[in-house]
Amino acid sequence: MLDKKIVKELNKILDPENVLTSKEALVLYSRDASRHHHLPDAVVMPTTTQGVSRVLRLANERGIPVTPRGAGTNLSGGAVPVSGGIVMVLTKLNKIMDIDEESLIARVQPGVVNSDLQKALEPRGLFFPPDPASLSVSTIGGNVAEGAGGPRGMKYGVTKDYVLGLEVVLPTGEIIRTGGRTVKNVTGYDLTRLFIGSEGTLGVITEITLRILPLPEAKKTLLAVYDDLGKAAETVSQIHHQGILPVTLEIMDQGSIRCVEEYAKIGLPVDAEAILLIEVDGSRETVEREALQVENFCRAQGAREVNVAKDAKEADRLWEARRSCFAAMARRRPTIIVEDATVPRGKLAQMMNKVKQIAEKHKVEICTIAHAGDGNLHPQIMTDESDPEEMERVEAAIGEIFRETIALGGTLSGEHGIGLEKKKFLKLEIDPGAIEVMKKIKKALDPKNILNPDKIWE
Amino acid sequence: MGVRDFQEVGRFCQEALKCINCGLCQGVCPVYKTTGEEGTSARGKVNLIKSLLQGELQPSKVSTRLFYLCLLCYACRDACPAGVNTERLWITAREDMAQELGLPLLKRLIFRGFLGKPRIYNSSPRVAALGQRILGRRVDGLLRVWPPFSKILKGKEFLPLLSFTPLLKQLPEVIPPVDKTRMRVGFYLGCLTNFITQQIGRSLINVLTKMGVEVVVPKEQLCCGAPPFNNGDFRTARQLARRNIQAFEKVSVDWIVTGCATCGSAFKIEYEILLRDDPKLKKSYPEFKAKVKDISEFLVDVLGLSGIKMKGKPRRVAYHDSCHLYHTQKIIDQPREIISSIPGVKLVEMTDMDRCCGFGGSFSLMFPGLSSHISEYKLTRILETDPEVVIAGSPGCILQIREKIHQQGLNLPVKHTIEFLEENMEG
Repeated sequence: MLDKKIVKELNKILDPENVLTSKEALVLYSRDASRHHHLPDAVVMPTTTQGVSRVLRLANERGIPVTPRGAGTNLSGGAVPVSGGIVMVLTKLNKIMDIDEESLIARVQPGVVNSDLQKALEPRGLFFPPDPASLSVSTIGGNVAEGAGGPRGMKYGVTKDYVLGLEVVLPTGEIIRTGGRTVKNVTGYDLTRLFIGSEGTLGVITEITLRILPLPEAKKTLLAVYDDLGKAAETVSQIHHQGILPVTLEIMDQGSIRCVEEYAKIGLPVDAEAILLIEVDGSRETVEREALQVENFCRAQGAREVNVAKDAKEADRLWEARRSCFAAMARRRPTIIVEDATVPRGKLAQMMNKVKQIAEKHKVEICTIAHAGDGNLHPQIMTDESDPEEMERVEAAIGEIFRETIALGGTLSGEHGIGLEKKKFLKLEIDPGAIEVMKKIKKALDPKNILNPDKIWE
Repeated sequence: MGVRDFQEVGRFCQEALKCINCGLCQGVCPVYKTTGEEGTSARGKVNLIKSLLQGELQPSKVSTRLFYLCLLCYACRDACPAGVNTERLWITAREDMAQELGLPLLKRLIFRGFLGKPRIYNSSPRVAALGQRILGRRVDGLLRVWPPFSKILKGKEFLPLLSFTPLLKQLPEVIPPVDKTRMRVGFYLGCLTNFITQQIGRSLINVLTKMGVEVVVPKEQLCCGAPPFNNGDFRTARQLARRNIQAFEKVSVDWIVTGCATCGSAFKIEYEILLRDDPKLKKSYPEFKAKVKDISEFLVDVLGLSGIKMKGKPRRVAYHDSCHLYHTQKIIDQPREIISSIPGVKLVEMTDMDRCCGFGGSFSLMFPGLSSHISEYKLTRILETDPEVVIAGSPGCILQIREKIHQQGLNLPVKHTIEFLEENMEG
């Protein structure tokens, strides 16, 4: 529990309604979507940048840890207050400040939900490409702090490619602006990129200036079924030779197909080794041509069946399998751990096979889906965290998966962040010199180490 | 305090353990979307329940309030990847909180002093209806409350207008069909139709009798029990459930029809939770449940919409999906079939047609500000489709949307599906 005097001061800085100290509030904010949890000592919900600044200044003076939080859907434990202290919830800073259609810029507060931004842009013929699976609930602030990705990443890139500028409150309370309102900007150090993906450890983001794009005229969806995983993976790595960059290129392995079919019963080919879900977008003519090209290419690569959606309704049906993955896997066992290992595109099949071998070796149930286009695998481990013996095997499997990922030239985190989940593996990927630089930057901005401490590295 | 102290929630704690904390429930919860506070989301409430069961938390006003800060719209259950049956958790939590901390006096008075007492239930409205009219001005089936009274009611501007005589008292026990008898159907009114939106009841009877149905109105029916059930008074709810089941058991009917989505939902789902271990009703409840149909479900699935002639003129309509039709009973297509069977009518689907209107029964009285905010969102979505008429399948939703329309000074009729059908029937 926080000292009464400090709570009093918080009540002066913020509306007392937005300062929560009940045991219930502490329990509510002790978790995110990962398997970690820890009680904070207080929860605040500021409504202005000034409020954020004054709270951080106070916390810094007294050495109280502060953990920023958006929707709390983080999968790596980034929003869990492991050092106690104050959880700072940013959901009440939720205004879309402005949409500049001429300059293709949107300025938002961090608490704006990703899909709410999409809904505001669509009627104007615009869109914000990064589409993490959590988009219906995750906030832009969270997306930026974690460097979120999504299926559209292959063609359009990820969150970090769309942030033009930020307003950030430093751990010591100062408010700074980084970047600007232009796509090209090389004035001074690129502080914007420093804060993106910093997982709430270098500053609290209070405003984001985003680049937005015109909405493509049309989109076409295809589903290709493969008897051979290798051939599916080759389709992925060779498709660009066709001069096509699909918007989406998702792969589901046999385990996933079977898991989804058991749950949704939609007639999926359970004997297939892989399914590819492909989308192309652009002008109507281009899309028609590209869809045909993709269809032919898949067949040439050995796909035994290719379904092309004729309209939005059919496209929806084709997506059903991929969309049902999470629900299907979440119901199999009490605990589901979604991993995020990413390898260079060409190593996809190899990595997927490796995951399968590791699962068999440790007798752990793992199904893999991936944003195949950018080599971003999501091995989903279905287990039961109340079984310590099984969890030991799960941890061993996870460790091996990460070592293999790095051995193939990959990275521990494509889009979920390091948080708590992957702290111990960081030094497998980043060399000690680089980790030192990160620590120096952290110390420079946060001398008392109050902002989301104990994350990213050990 | 451990699991043994939370009898009702404890029975369903497996549901709470299914939650994987993904947070996707936040994306569909109308209350969370307004407040941004974790405690208002399903995930938050499940975590509270887990903590209560483990003894990490003790029952308190804080958690009780959060369990009530929920519309019981069950959008969260549909969105949950892990399949948590949330409807079993929130209400049983309210019951356990009521056991631990007691029920507020006003609720005790209403549930045990009024709803649970048949004689008072059927005779009191006259006095209340008179008294109520002092509080404000009549406007389109609503009462616009004078500002000083509005202040006392936490800012509520409108109240539903009570009729002087309950509809149950006005109707005969049996109403014969216009022509040949196809079947015999029991009609369950529900409190709102009995005391307030009586026209819905009349339209329902009118349509059914024109379609060859003999309508039986058992006079012993009482409140379905949803209000006490949803507010943690299982004792009264069980009494009412037994009474209603027995009332319909006495008359031999092929089906039991209601025009209130909440009541139908209560019969099909909530009664299951209430009467699970009731030895007296072990046989009669399943029989009762099998006969219950919402009017739109009955017209389409049982009668096949045959035996009526429609007339119509070109009109744009909007249809709002009541939570207790869409999410709980999964009655989605039938009302649309009825509407589209009327010549000239064009139904334009609104965005978020299944988002709760914000009524939530006692929710609108306990949290009027929030309720108003949520219905404002609904009205905005309705107006986007530029309708001439708004249709909904439940009296609660109808009153809520009507209230918002009047509050904004607009002129847009809101009708029950069955009222709209009756208007467009020949003869």
